[in-house]
Formats: sequence, C-alpha cells, structure tokens
Amino acid sequence: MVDVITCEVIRDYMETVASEIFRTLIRSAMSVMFNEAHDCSAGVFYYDGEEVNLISRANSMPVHLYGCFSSVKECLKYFKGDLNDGDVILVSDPYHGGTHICDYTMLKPVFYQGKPIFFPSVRGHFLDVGAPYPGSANPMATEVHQEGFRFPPLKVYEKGELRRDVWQMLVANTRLKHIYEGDLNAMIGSCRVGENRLQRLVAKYGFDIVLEAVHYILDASERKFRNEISKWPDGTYSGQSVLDTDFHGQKDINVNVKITVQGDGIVVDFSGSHPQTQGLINSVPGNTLSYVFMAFTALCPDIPVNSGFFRPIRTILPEGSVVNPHSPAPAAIATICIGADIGEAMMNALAKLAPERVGTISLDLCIFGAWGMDPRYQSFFVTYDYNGSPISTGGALGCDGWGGWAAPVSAVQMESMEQMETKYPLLYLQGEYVMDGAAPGKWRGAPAFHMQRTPYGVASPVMHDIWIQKSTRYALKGYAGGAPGRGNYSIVYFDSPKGFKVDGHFMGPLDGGEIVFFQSGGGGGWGSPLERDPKLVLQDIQNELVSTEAARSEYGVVLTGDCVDEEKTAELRNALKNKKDIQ
Amino acid sequence: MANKSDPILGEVIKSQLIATVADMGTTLSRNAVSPEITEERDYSNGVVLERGEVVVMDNLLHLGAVSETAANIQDMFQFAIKPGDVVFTNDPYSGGSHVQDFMAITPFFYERDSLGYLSCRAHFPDIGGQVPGGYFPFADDVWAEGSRITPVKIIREGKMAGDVVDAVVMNSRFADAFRLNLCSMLAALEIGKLRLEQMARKYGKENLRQGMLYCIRYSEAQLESEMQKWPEGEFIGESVLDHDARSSSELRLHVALKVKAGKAVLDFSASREQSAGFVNSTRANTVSCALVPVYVLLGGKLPINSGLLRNLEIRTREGTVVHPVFPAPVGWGPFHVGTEIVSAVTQAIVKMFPDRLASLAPKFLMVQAQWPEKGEVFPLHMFLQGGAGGTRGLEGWGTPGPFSRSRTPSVELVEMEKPIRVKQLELLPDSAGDGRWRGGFGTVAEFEFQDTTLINAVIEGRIHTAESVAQGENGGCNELSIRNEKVNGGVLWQHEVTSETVRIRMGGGAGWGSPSERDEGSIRSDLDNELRSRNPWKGPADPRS
Repeated sequence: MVDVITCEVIRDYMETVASEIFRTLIRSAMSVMFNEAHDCSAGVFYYDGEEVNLISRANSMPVHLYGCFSSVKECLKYFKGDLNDGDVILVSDPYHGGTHICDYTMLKPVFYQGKPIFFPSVRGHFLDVGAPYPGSANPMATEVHQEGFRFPPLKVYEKGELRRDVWQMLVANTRLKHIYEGDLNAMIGSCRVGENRLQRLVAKYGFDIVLEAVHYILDASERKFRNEISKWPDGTYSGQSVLDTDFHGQKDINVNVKITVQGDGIVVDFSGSHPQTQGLINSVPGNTLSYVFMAFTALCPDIPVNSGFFRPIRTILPEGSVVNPHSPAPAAIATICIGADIGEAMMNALAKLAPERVGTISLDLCIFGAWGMDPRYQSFFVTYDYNGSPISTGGALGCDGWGGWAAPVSAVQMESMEQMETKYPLLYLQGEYVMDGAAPGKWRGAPAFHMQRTPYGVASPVMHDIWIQKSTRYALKGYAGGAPGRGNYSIVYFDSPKGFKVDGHFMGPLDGGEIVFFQSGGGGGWGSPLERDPKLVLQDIQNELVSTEAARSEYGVVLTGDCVDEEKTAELRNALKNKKDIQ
Repeated sequence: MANKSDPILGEVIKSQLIATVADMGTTLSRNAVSPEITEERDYSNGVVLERGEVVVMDNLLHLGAVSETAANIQDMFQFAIKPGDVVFTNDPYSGGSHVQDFMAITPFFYERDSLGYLSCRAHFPDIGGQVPGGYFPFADDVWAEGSRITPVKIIREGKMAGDVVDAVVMNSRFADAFRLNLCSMLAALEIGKLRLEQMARKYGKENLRQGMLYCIRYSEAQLESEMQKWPEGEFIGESVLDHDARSSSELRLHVALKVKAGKAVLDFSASREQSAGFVNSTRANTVSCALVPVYVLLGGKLPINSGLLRNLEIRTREGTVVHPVFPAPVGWGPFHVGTEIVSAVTQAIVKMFPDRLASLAPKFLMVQAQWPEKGEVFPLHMFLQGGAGGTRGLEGWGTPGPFSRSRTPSVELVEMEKPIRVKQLELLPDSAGDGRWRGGFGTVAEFEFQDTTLINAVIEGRIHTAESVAQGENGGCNELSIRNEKVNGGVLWQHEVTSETVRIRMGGGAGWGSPSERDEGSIRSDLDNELRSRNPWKGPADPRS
C-alpha cells in the first residue's frame, strides 16, 4: 500500500508533466494559435487495456479538456491491439472524438510490461486544414466535408519510423505547409518530452507504485466530488440559453438542460435542445461534455480534474440535436457557438443550486479573420484575430469581470497587436474599453471593448475578410440580479458612407482601404448593482469606466466633488430599490 | 527473344497486353458501383515501366496523367516499393488531372524481378470540397475542389493500411461507394497481375520484358512513319473557350506545330495565362488531349503508350491555362480547356492536311441537380450526346470517339432512383453543322423534379461551338433553359426549381466540306427523319416536291 503523501507527490508530478508538455509546445510551435494565443492543451492518460483515464491535464484551455479525452478514447478504441512502442497517433475528425476539425490531437504510447500504459498527449488548433476557404471556419459549410481534410486516428510514426507518405498527404492539405509542419513537429517533440518524464517517474518509484498512485489519484477526485454533490440539495434544476443564429438561416437555437442531483450522483439531460442545424454550430459530444465538466470544475475549483471527477456524472445527449449531431453535420465553430450556450445553460441551471458559485463561462465570439497575399513578404497568410472575443468575462462573487479571456479559454492569451501588425498586413487604430460599457452588478462584468482595424499596405482585392459573431441579439446573461452584457456588433467601412453592420457573419474581398469597427460587449454582472461597494464605483468613475450619470442611475451612487456622498447615496439607493420592488 | 528478329512473338505479347488492360477494365467496370465508372466508363488501366513509361493503356485521355503520376510515385518511393504494395493518389499536382480521378498503382514482380507496374485510374464520385462531385466554378484553389491525397501506400506488402484507407474514404461524401470502387480497382490490379504472371510463365520474363519494349517501339515506329509524310514548317492552331466561370471570357488557346527533320513539337507556350477559375488543364491532362488528333490521324488502332511521345514533344509554359502552377483549381480542366486543346491541335494539323481529320472536340455543359437535404446529386448532362464532326466519307454521330466512352444512363432506372422525371430525350433537329458530310446531331433533354431541387450549371459552347474543318459549318450551340427561359450567363449556381421544366440542349458536331457539295439523298434523308426543319436545298428543285 502506497502512502498518501507519495500519491500526492506523484499526482503533482503528473500535473507537472502535463504542464511541461504544454510549455514545450507553445515554445516550439510556429503558428500564432499555439505560441501567442495558446489555443492548445496537454494531458497524461492511463489505459488499462479496456478503459482510458485522464490522470492530469495542463492548466490550459478547458474547452480542449474533454475534446482531448474523447479523441484519445477513440484513438485507443481504433488501434486496440495494434499499438507499438514508437507509434505516434494523430486524429482530427470531430466524429472520432474531439470538437472541431481544426483541433488535432496527438498521443504516444509509453509501454510497461509489454503493454501500452501511459499516453502523453497534446491537442491544438491548426490555422489551415484544407477546406474550400482558408482558415477552416467556412461559414458556407453545411457538411463537415467542407471544413477541411478529415482523418480518423492515423499513425504518423509506426514503430519509431516516420510514415513519410502519410506525412506528405497531411501536409498536402494545408495552405500553410511550413507552419503546419513546424506545429506537427512541435507536437511530436512535446509528446516525447512527456514520454521522457513519465519514464523517469517510473524509474524512480517503480511501475507498481506509480500505478497504485494513479488509482488513488482518480479515486480521490471522485470521492471529493461525490462529497460535494451530497451537500447539494436533491432535485431537478433546469436552464436554457439561446444562440442568435447558425449562420445559415436558422435563428434562435436553444439549448435546454436539466440537472438532476440525487444523493452523490448527477444526471445532466439535454433533452429538448434544438435539433441539429445546417450551419457550422453543431456540437459533437466531446465539445458538449467539455462545457458540462467546465461548469462543474468551475463550481469546485479545489478538486483535481481527472477521470475520477467525471465519474459521478451521467449525461443524456439526444441524438440528432445540436449537442450530439449526426455526421456529417458541420461543427467548425461549435467550440464557441453553441459551446458557450451549453456553458450558459449549465450555469443558469446551477445558479438555482449554488448561486454564490456561478458566473459567466461563456465565450462571446466576435472573431475576425483575413487571408490573402502579404505584399511585404510576398507570401500567403491566414490569420484569425482573437482580440474581439476575449472581453466576455462576467462578474462573480468577490470579483469583477477582469477583461481578459472568459473562463472556458482562460489560459489563452490575447495576441499582441504589435505581433499582429508585424506578421500580417494589418494596422490597429483603436483598442480600448468603453465608458459605461460594463454590465452593472454587485460585481460588474468586464467593460465593452471597441476596436478599429484596417488592412495595411494591401492592394485590392488581395485580402479577404471574414467575420463571425454571436451575441448580436442575445447578450451574455448576468447572475444573481446582475445586468446582462452589452452584446456585440461590427461595422465594415466604419466612418464611410459605404458602411454597413454585419449580420451574424460576413465573408468577402474588400478593397483594401476599409476600416472595420467592432464592439465586444463584455460579460454579465453578478448581484444587484445597488449593493456594489460605492468605493468601487468611485474607482470605476476615476478610471473612466463609469460616468457620473450612470453611477447615479445604475448604481445609485452620488458624488460630491471627487468623493462619494454617503448620505445621498443611501437615500438614492433606497428610492431605486423601492421603485424596483414596485415594478 | 522478342527483339527485332522475332516480331511474331512481339506481336503476340503486344496483343495479349492489350487484352490484359481490357480485362482489367471489365473487372473494374463490372464491380464498381458509381455510374462514373460503370456507365461513363471514365477510367483507364495500364502497364507502366520505370520513369512512367507507359507500355499499353485502354484510354488515351488518361495517358499523360498515368505516365506522369507513375513517374512521380516511382521518384517519391524509389526503392521502398515492395511486392504487394499499392500506392493510391488523386493529386493533380503529383501528375494527375483533377481531384476526382484516383489512381492505384502496384509493382509487378516475377521471381523477385521487377517487370513494371500495373495502373488503374478512375473517376470517383466525390472527395470532399465545397460541392458534391467536386466541380466548383468558384473555387479559388485546389482544396476547394476536394482533398488532396498525395501518393500514399494503402496496401503495404499485401497488408491493408486500414487507417490510411479510412482517412481517404472518410473524405468522400459517398464513403460506401468510394470503398467499393476502391475494392474494384484493387481487383482490376489483381487480374492484371495474374495475366502478366501467366505471360511471364509462358514466354519467360525476358521475353515479356522485350515484348513490352516492342509494344512501345511499335507505336513509336507507326508515328515515325506517319511523320515522314508531314511537311516541314510551322502550323498554327487556335481555339476559343467562352468563359472560365470567373471574370475572364474568350480564353484563347494557341498551339504551334513545328515539324523539322522527322521530329515535331506541339508548342503551347503562347497560350493564355492560367485562369482564376477551374478551367485550367494540368500538364499531364494537356499531354493526353494534345495527342487525341494525332492518334486519330494514325487510324486509332495503335497501342496507346509513351511511344507516341518519343518523337513528338508537347511543350508548355508554366503559368498558362494548359500548365497551371500549384495551387490553381483544375476541376473542369479535362473537359475545358481539354477539348479546346484537342480543337487547337486539330486546327494545326488541318493546316498540313486539310482533309484527313474531323472536328473532334465537343463543347460540354455541366448541369447538376442537387438535393442538399438528402445529400444527393445527379449529373443531368450524362443523358446528352453530341459534338462528333463529319469526316471525309462519313457523317458525324454522337460524341467524338475519344470522348464517347460513356453510355447514357437508363431513363427508367434514374426515374426510379431519383426524384427526376425525364419528359423528353431525343436528337435535336438542326443542331448539327452542315457540310459535304454533316456533323452528328446533338440531343435535347427535358426534366421535371418531384422535390425542390437546386440546379448547378456551367455552360460552355453557347458562343463558340464545335469548330469545323474543310469549309464545313460549325456545330450547334449548347443551351440551358428553365421554364422555357434561356439562361444567359455561363454559370448558374444553386438555382432553386420546384415545378419548372429544365431543358438542356447539347449542340451537334461540325460539318466537313462545303455544304453546297452535299448530295441530295443525304439532305432528303435528314428531312424525312425530321432532323432538319428547313430545307437547305440550293439546287433547281426541292427534292421533296
């Protein structure tokens, strides 16, 4: 019997291995998706010949969490009995686990006693994976075939030897050969680092002890989570969220969830959710479950996330719905639209269960892509500018929306505008918070963000732009009495008579001189704004995030000179509260 | 030894090789499930040597692609090709023509000696891309037309690489049909191997090897002696394509046939720059098309192989519409500018010999019915025939030889399988170019649909029709009309029809010789058959009166 302290040491080591795989990847990969945006993840898996278990995952993008797990599961099912030391397996197809076609998952078996036991694994977003239009977010797609080169689990290396013909076939299906190969190599290197660290661990403690510790680690998370669930009142709690559009004519796509707590187990049932649609917003199970578990991990931040954590939860995903579509429904942007709505529906249901623990876990998509020739380098480029999307954090108990990425993508970084301007023919003219753009609450949301961008040094019509955005009609919700976010919108040809507002999505060549404006609306608030600490409101006024008028009307805070007038504030707040009660 | 001293054994082996590839074709087309293979017979089988040298084939239009792809595969794998391997590819930029055409190649070993390769190439119904079927006029690059499968081993030393096969198959919208077609291809290769093995056993491997070389040498010699008759000099041929489905119209193909000292060059260097649309023809496809008129000149009976290219060089310039640079779209290339290449070369040869060739190049129109909710498509144009020119002593009939491998589908079967009703399908009166010997008549077909249907169409031959030779008239024009209204542009995309009638007319072939020399009996027979509405009789009396 291994002692608990050793087990904990091994658990920490496993977490570090995952984190090191992730670090290796972002430091050696070539595309901005990895090295700047960190749209990737890593994990260590354990396979007992039948069942796959996640032991640890890097502290990176949670939306990859279950995507990675389900991809690894599919890979091991596919190659059951056909694994060798030195194999490297890669998979992209969203109907073989995973989330969307541009997220590649790679894993490498580590053998003990003649069996594949541990699997270091990485997963990340590739910039271009073929498809009719560059960038692999084809808003015209009605099938997954229009989203890129599909492949099931595929051995890239076999018994330590590169399958050169397979490699060439993969590389033939990207427009960015150089970057793609660099990223694949970085993934392989990262898996090798993981393999090396795992071998060291086993060399130090011995295989039997490590294996016993792994079982302890999984059981401990399960036990802790079940304890937590037993404290929650039994009952059924429902939540709903609505997505604006599927970008293909279908409006108002609802996600319905019923969470049933019974004893120390939970059933999450998505019956009643919208049927799958023709647009690219269908969420395959790997993606749906990512958001389900993301919500629970957000509620229980102290429990280590591994397969033990997943055990108490049973899910019902109706087939043919947006949360479990049939192949070949397109799924390219389901990681956010409808993923974020799955997260929001979950949080709305959980708000009835534990209001003090909920907050926004939705990502408010407002994404701008471009492709074309960069005249400075005479080379073809594809870029996705994430800068519009991050400002979707909402308030939570004890914390204002901080203005970076929301929880589901919290490990992701915003690309630096300087990097973007250097790498791509773009010029940024504005990027700032808007006064009175934050959703009021006891803890307010992140303020809305305005940005203006224009092509730089590009002659027409060499650059194509693409916009995809949600929350144009249904903004992010507030919790426990907080106000909703401001919602997104964007204008092409800003400050010009040709200007028009983008409805959901837009794709087309532009003449090179246009300015694109967008607002990213910020997350919802938490708690009534009338309960916000007046000092915090004053701080916001000083930072020009809240105007004195809004301080009065929204927060009931009155200023005298540069100070809060406490008496008048109390009076006004009472009056506002009474007015609200009457309403 | 089947060398020059034993031409009889050489002839025997040559004939058996021709029979072998025909046998492979039978195996393929009887087992495959897609109409592209079973009905249209858009496939080829071949025996190939090192450096992509083709010994024998059954389809001239694939010669360039098979040769160049095989050479690329041999170059890529070098010594890593082992007995029992099968390499599979569709890549237009690894020597192919367009992404729909897949090619499988396997080495033939006898007693551990490599004696060459067997190839099987066929048009598969789908490999991803923006639209089912892969013909996407708005494609900006080759990825918009489908996934690229660069040469990859799907069978390694007799063992199926399951993951690679799954990866390829998964990219097709019609995965089941894809897999069955692939299996039929493998069966064809097996039959080919069996036949070669029988021959090697019977004649000895050295004799077989020599027999293969004899086969190439035979075609070479035939062309050589034909070229003795060619006058020295430079002969220009041109042909024009209506549009490229994008911004360009009137795409001009230019070829200069340069004959000197028993050698000839077909020089396409002055052709137009490559198009932004999908009408580019890869170099491999250009080679095949350019050989069509030459092959017809030789009587059309020779083994199709690389011997035809020994003394005849096909010269192209990178970046032109006949030799596009990666990653230009090429989906429509085998048809257009494919037939314009045929036409231009025909025109150049006609400058040498005004009376030895007919018009060989039909103008195609692609009309596809699509039911997006069912994920189904059907190529309506498969019902149509037309474009064969008249030739000295013979009226045109149907589609010109090299393009006429296809059989029209059965109306009854299509009506049972798809929500289509064929209201009319017949020869189109007045659609043939007049001449001493007139061209073949085109066809007209009328359709109605039971469900809401999307029509996708790319129409060539509206303005520039099949080009005549020897003072004949040009062929008739192609036309698509919906509810009796003629479609005026060259492209119609995602046009919804419910109860409207869709009518497609494919123009006929061009005539040969002056119409004024046409004999009375022929005119009368056309009038009696109701294939002419007007009486072109220019003589003193109307023969009907």
